[in-house]
Amino acid sequence: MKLLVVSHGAFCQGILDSYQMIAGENKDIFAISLTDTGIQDFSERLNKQLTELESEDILILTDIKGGTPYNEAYKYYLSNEERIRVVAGMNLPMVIEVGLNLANTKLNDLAEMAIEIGKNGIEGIVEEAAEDNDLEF
Amino acid sequence: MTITLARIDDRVIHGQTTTRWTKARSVQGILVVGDDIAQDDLRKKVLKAAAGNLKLGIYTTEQAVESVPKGKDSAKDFFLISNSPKTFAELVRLGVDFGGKLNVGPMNTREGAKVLGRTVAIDEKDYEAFDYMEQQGIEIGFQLLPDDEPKPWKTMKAKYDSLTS
Repeated sequence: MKLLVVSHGAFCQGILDSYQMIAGENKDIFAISLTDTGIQDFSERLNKQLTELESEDILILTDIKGGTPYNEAYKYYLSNEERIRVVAGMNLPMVIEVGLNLANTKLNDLAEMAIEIGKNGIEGIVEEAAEDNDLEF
Repeated sequence: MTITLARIDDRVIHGQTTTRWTKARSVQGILVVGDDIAQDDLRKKVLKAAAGNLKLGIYTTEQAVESVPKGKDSAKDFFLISNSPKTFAELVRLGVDFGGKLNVGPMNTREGAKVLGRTVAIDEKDYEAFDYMEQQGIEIGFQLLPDDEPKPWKTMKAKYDSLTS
């Protein structure tokens, strides 16, 4: 199982950098960014990477639905539905949880996990109970 | 059931702890020990939020003399975390048994500290504390994340000594 993160600009490399700071190195995560060189260059790099990983199931996380990174990933998915899943709106909680569970989770479950953890990762400050130590031995 | 991780970490409870160590070792609650932390209400609130679903107890070194054995003998598993090796050395001096193994996580650059690695900087007092614990038979491993290879105090000590002019 591999994880591919794609984005407009350096977001995907940045989120991978943050991932590594918290969770450590992971050789199964790849980042490809759309740059000023445009869609064709991006599409070529994306397809080259996905072709190199032809024997693998791959979850692709994208920055925003309907953007070029998403659209190109979706296009690839349409002709490789059995081994590709695409989830839009990636955030760090999502990438960490998915990245740590790559080796032991099936593709469909991984995609569902990404969506659930990603959504749950968004919250404001929750007022905690005033009690200091809630630990019981 | 026991103390499954005794760790020095100057960030105390943070991303590496909650995403990696809690997955690598069994844990139901975290014991934090530090006189400075136990007296800082703001810091305690932040730690409580950082602990999330895990139960949390924050103790002075004096209180820890009672709490740590309770944790060790409990049916549950706990992490024991302090932000300083001096606190752990004090626990050892007071005869507190936390399992004989001590993990060392981030100890960031401070004034007067020598940089021994990407995330480890120690000063003379830290050095004395580590040396004392080693002499008392504590197995010390510098290891940021569960996947990392632990480096023994001997290695870090040699590095520190080589930097002394």
